[in-house]
Amino acid sequence: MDDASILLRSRSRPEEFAVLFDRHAPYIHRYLARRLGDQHADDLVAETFLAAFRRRDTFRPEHGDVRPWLYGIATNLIAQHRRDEARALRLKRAVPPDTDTVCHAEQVAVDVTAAALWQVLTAALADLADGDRDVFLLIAQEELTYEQVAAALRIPVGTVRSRLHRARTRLRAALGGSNPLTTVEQEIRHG
Amino acid sequence: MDEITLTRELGRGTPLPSPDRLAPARARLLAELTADSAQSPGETSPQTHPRRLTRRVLALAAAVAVVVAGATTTLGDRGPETPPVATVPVAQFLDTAAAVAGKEQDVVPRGDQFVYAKTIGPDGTSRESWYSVDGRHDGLARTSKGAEEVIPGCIEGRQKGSDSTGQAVQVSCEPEPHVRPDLPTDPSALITWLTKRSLDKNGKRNVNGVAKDMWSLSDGYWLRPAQRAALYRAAGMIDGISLVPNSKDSTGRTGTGVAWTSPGESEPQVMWIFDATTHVLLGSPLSSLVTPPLIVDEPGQRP
Repeated sequence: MDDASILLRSRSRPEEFAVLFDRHAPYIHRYLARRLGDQHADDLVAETFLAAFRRRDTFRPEHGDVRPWLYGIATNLIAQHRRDEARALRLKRAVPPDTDTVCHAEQVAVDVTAAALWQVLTAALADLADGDRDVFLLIAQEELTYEQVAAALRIPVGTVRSRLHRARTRLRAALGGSNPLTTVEQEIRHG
Repeated sequence: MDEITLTRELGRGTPLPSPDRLAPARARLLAELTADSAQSPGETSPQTHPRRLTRRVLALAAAVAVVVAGATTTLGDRGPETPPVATVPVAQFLDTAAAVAGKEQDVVPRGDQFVYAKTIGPDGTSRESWYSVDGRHDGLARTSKGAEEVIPGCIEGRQKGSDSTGQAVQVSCEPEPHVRPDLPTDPSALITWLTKRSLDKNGKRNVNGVAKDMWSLSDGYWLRPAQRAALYRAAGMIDGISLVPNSKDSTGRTGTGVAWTSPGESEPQVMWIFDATTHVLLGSPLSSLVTPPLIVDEPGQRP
């Protein structure tokens, strides 16, 4: 049964709403964890689904599917924790993700450069306007389409495009137009 | 690696949570659902004993586990290595749309021209855009609410931008052309072209990326008639495509929707709506094409 049908049935059979939790909660939790950290995500994933359940009568299938709607509710909750998001981004600067390299010595060289790169990137993400960051992360990390982001945040698609463009321009400026990670990897691989 | 890819890499450091991690949140939700079930009129009997409700919820959870396991199998079947499978009705519909699109007037634009399009959203706001054909000239976007924005062109590897304080700066860039002469006119070759653009870092095909690029090409780029025809026919070869009759675009026009169900999703999402009779693209539920992409000489000029 599709999500919209389950949502409709849950109006008379509330317990069926649990199916939507099982389908979508892992992705909403990861989104919240990426933005606020695991601890906040543990609490807010429940808040997201409780809010969705209480507002299930307001969902309109013609405006998109359920997951973007849930992302929209989660994003509204994140808006109440902006300071925590800034803190989470600061923490990430110290822990860069893994990179693909060919041996330990090369890994060290890349890691040093990558750590600097992640610092610049996370600082620049923190500096984005809140609305620009919401749009950019929903597209870049959650891989929503422009239309899904528009539905999630209840803004026109044109606004999604302009916010994304502004965010990308600012991030590119912060990264200085060069990507040291790519440069180091290319030097290692191509000599 | 651009800023989107870098940010995606940053996000990959956060894994999906385990069921154990989600268990407390699930329990909180179930408690409210159960309480609501006890109060809900409708099909649930008000006399239903709470313990019976709990059993129903547990039985539901078991059923969900089966559904999720089934969904995983389906996802595996539709994995990145699975060749695309055509669904006959939707492929036929798209083939007709392709035949119509293939008869449009062919134009080979110059690099210094602009791709004009006008769309309208669900709230009635219209947006006009003028994208540089070669990505090396400043374009323009304008809304009916009076907002206007320059779309910076990339000139000799630099374009106008602003830093985090809003100060104007020059940033490095790569031109983003809105006409793609290299876009194949053969549907299979077009899928290969799109697939190459959407390979992940492990070299695996990203079906999500292929479909998204298709939608993006359809409303923001100038496609020559043979390219647009190939795009529609290629969409008919992607697994997960289906038809949704009587779909409505953002202005309420009814047409035939072409929907895509993303791997791992259960719901098809209508992305294209065609006029059911003429097979001309009308737009999508969130963005209707008032004027399809056309070529003009300068930003601000209307066809």
